[in-house]
Amino acid sequence: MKAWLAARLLGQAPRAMAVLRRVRPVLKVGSTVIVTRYDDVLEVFRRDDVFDTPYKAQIDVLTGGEPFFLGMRAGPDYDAGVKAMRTVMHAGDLARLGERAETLAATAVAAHEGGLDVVDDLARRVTFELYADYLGIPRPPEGRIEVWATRLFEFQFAGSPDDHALRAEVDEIAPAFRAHIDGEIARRKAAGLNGADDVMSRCLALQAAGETQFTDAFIRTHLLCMMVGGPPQPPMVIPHAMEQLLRRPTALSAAVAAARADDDERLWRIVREALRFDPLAPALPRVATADLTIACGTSRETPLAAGTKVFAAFASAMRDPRRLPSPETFDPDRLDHEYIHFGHGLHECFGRMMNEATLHRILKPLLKQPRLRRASGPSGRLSKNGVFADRLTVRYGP
Amino acid sequence: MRQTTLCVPLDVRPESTERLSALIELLRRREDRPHIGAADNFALLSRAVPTLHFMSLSVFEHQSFDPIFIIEANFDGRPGPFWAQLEAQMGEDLREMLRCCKEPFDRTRNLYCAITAEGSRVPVAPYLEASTQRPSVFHHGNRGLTRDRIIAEAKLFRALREELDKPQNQGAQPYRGAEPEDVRDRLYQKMLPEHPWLGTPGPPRVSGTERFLDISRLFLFATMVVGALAIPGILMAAILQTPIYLAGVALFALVGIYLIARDRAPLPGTEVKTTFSLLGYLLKHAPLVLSVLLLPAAILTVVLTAVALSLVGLYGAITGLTGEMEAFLWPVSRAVILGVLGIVSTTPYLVWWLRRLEMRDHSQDSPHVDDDIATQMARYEDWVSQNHMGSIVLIRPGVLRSIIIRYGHMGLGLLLRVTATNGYLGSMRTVHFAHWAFLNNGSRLLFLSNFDQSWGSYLDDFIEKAHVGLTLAWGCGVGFPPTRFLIFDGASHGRRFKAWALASRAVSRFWYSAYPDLSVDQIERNHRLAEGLRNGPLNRADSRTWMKDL
Amino acid sequence: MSAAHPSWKLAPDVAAATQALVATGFGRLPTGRALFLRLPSDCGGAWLKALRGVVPITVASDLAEKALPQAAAIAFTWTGLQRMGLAPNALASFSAPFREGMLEENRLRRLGDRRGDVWLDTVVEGGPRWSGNTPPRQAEKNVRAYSVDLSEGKPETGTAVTGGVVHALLLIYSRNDEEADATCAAAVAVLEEHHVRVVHTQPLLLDVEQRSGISREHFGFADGLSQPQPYDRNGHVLKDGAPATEPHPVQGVPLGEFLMGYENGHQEIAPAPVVPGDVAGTEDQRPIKAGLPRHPEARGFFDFGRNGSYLVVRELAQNVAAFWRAMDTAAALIRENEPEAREVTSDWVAERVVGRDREGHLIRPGNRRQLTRDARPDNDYLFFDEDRHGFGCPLGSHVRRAHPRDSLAPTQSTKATLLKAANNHRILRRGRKYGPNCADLRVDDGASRGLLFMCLNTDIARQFEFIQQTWLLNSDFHTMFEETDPLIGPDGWMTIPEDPLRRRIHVETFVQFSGGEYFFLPSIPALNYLGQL
Repeated sequence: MKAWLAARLLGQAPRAMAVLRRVRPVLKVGSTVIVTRYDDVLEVFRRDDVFDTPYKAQIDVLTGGEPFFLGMRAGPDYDAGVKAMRTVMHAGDLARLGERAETLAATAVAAHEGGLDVVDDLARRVTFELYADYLGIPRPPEGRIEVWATRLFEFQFAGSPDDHALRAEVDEIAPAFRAHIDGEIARRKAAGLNGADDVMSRCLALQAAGETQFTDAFIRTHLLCMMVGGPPQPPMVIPHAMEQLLRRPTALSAAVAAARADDDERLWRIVREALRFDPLAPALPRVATADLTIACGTSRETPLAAGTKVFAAFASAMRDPRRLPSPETFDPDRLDHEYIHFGHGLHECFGRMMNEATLHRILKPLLKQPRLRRASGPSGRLSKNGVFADRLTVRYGP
Repeated sequence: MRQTTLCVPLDVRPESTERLSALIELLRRREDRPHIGAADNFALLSRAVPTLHFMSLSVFEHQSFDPIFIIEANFDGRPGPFWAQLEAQMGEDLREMLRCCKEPFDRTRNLYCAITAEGSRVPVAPYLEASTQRPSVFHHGNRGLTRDRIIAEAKLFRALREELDKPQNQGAQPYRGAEPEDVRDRLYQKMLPEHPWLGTPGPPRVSGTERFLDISRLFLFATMVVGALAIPGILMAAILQTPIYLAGVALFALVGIYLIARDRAPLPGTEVKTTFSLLGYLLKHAPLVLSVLLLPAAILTVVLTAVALSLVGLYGAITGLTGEMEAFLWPVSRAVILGVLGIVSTTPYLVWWLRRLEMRDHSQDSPHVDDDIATQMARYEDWVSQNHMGSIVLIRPGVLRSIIIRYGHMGLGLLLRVTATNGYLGSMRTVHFAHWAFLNNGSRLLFLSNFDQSWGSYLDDFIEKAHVGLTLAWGCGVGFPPTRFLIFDGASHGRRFKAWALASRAVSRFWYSAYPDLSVDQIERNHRLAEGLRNGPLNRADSRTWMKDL
Repeated sequence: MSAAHPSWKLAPDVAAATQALVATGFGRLPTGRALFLRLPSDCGGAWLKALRGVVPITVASDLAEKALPQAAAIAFTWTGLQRMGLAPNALASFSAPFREGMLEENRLRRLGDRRGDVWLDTVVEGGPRWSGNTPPRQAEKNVRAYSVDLSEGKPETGTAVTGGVVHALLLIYSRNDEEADATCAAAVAVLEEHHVRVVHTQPLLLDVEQRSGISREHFGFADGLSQPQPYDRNGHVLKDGAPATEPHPVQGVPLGEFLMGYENGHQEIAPAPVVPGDVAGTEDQRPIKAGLPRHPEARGFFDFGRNGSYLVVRELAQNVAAFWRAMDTAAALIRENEPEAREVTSDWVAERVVGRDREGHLIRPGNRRQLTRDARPDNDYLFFDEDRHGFGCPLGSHVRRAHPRDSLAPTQSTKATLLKAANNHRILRRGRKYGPNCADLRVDDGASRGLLFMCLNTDIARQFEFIQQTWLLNSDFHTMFEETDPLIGPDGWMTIPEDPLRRRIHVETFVQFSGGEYFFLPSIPALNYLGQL
């Protein structure tokens, strides 16, 4: 009942946001603020000097206290962390990742004749296989890496301090996961460096070459955080995109046409536009690190005390008619600035490029199926568990 | 399609003027340079701001005020999305330019401080939006054609031209010897695959609602003017007997007309004879003139009578005195009708008053133009067949003048909305987007225009073809060549008018046109061709006319 | 030239002070020489005085009924006047185009000669050979407080500089080549005494055909037909012995458009340069002795420009063989695809490029031809009523671009306004051809030939430059698109309107600019003044 209510509420969120944008664009409830207009969301994201991500405490739990850049403020450490990871995960890999994603997705679709669950059978399966291989993290002998990463992700981004059950679970998974990666590092070192060309081997090669930044702890922490922060997200957004396409027959047929024509650029634009209507989450949290004022000089000017939690409702911002032309129209030809579903500014999604290379490729084999349609009954409609996509069954073929 | 014309006037810190000009120049060099792999100038801006038709950034320097930075933009749709697009393309450049501007003193001050603070990353769009000045009069040459449509139709034109110019198509078949309607049909079939939009009818350039509103606004305005001029008459008619009132009106009118006749002659040496005749114009447009006068008069009579009667009714309802309503009907409407008639005596006095002002106005025959500025202006001009001008002049003071400028511009603006719908402004068809705007409490008048051909030929067009409208709109400027009855002489003083206009100009350092190779005329031609294909098939006569444009 | 029979005259008092070139092109003197002179620095005016002793400058009042045996005219560039020692305030009082010169960077762009650093195809290889080399008005940008330097270390493009420098232009008109050579020799002898060098010479040819009474330019077309008819509200122009105070309905243009000091198209006195009336506080007798009138507005100054004019000179090389071969190709191409179009010959195409037939008749719809009473081409023809769509004389043809008459009127009711507007942009043409006539129009004999284009106007920007930029080289002229003058413009296309479907032909660059400058053609008193410097 509670889940049903939450889902209903989430379903009504766009409408509620539209009302908020108009009557109370900066809504303050106690020490929490939600901003819904494009300008204000952009401001919160851009002012990373005074708006911190509230992730550090959780990250410390995951990493055992090791630093990771998502939890950092702008500065040399942040830059060094991002730069190091960009040297081992670089643009040269994108084409290969895209190809691989499509191949895996094709295999997944082929394995399910007549229909599948977009969340589990397609998105989750393909993403984890793709990124586990890419990062170089083997399947753990005990437990499933999907479950580990997803539970940690949930704790990291959506967890509540009061959720003791989840915390207890995390306290078991996180050390196990770290140990698992440490084991792999040790194994690789023992076996010599002539391994696959994955991220871990690149890290180890740099370490061997004397790059002091790449300590074992650094490699373990970053691979862990990449695994936790990255792969759990596509299984959320890919079903969102599919659901939005299924709601719009013309958009769906455009997507099908682009998929059949192997026009990846076009298909990406269509998927991106679909995600504008239902991105990863309605909002991202930030915490004010000082007393400050947002929307200064406007009628919505609001002072915030240090410590105020701010939700930047980027889903709402992407539907703000004050800055987007006809935001309710499905238009794949929109300009880049109209999309902020990877966040914006300092903490813009690290995996943005990877997502741009893979999300639509994962959907492509499915879109190529004849007579793609919803499964009948409730399973044919996207259901969510909190913000997490739970199930969306589609059917294809005769 | 709704289109927006606006400007953002911002006072500049005098010490930072040169810096601002340099920033504008650097921005131009960055944007106006074809980057590797791109064919067009301003390719990035074109892509990033797909609604934009024309845009300029210029700094006006003048002896009577600190430099002023003007951002001019003409685009499709509402301003909000436009500013977001512009910010995405050049937000940080604009922020640095804004830092060269003065802190405003009004409510936008905090906003200014927030966006210009060192290291600020707050969006600049809200400040530009808050500082926007709407035009007092504006003209859109190719009214209602969106940028995308203009460009698509130009592409169609080139495709048609290419098709007709193919060597194998030069013979009697398929086109030269064919029946006109077949030519159109064949070309339609040829063009459809590459231009699929030809398959659906285009949206109207001016929607029915918009047209209705334009006309209604003009009539509302005319009604207000008639009402204002009729006030003295209504008051007098209410207290005087009809014969006495009428005799008074006639007497006053005669005296007024006598005064005008006495002072109507041009001041020595200031007359310029033109082919324009006011009487001829009024006679030619008699139906329009009469409808703009009589309809508002009728509306006014009905409305004022109704208002008066309802006031009486209300009074009756409150005091409990009823049954007297009918008794008021005739006296009230009589006073209004007679009062409107009284316009014939109030108008001559206003005209005479104005004429007295004109006779004492000083003009500036030889304003100073800095050689350096003139060279710089020339350096940015005549690279393509379109050009841009911006000008700021001071406005002549005085009660009557202020009223005439404000309401004259309002009326002219409304009239243009109704009449200038096919690109022509008088017999000129060279203006893409132009507008006037009042600055600084209405003490200065800004003029911005994007036009075809050179500045000299543009001004010659004004002098030779549109001097009446120009004199009406710009004659309020300090130093404008001598005018007569608001519309005569003035801009017809060719050389003086040019010198005056030149002296008020600024260097168009950053100027963007989305279609620099298309004239207003050519855009209309492309549009006629496109519509002929889109709304076909045409009959033989129409096809033949259509073919003239090929 | 029609100027062989000018139908108007200057009133006697004006004629006495005006060079004859203003009133006539000396049609009865079929040959002549253009001598381009280079003056030494600070040369003063003695050379001019001496020259006039040997080669008298013809005065308009000399144009009696009887034919002159010889005539001459002289004009100066801004640098020439500077070298002769004209006072700086006088030099500054000339109009901007003259002060800046024809080769000023922005002007070159407007005239279609150069963009940025690149000479266009309509200019001879390597750029023009001669000009006045007028220095830029603002040599260095003022450095003010808070100035920002964006020059990137490179100098700005600035005014183009030519190898040949011309300070004055002496035009000699003669009955035959022997007399012309003799006069030149006499002139050169005097000039050499004063260290004035002749840097460039061109013959001036006007071979009027006996039979038709017309002269042809090198492409073979009758030339100089459409000239404006000056009039003056104050009676300074005579026509048939009586003051011409009302404009001719088609060609009527106020005298002030061609002669400074008279009412111009803007109904004001055409602005003119001045010379100071005193030197260092004491009255200067020279302007009075020269006969210059006092300036009506500038107290203490004398009117240096009255009865003078600006002479625009552009030397235009013509490639006759290329022209006719292109016409052949265009005609052949049309007939190849459309054998039934038998009327389309090279001449047919060429006539449409020019807008007249070779005898000078404007092309009319249906190839009709209408002669005036004296059997000369009808020049009072208006386009709007007779040929609105250009089915006769193509909208983009050379003559229609050069003088659109009422053609640009959008509606019947605006015809008069547009004709009047067009007449605000007229020039008095005084050009002559140079180089030998072609034996065979289609064979390139390697000889240099062309037109020494010359025209008189008082407002260079509004008259000559306007015609060049807004009409001839305007790619949007008359609702056309991406095409310019087919005769003098660059390679490109030309539309020939036809009912119901137009043709388009390809044209090349037939005419190239090889040198030019803006000159001042002084009045006789002004020449007297210059002689005293």
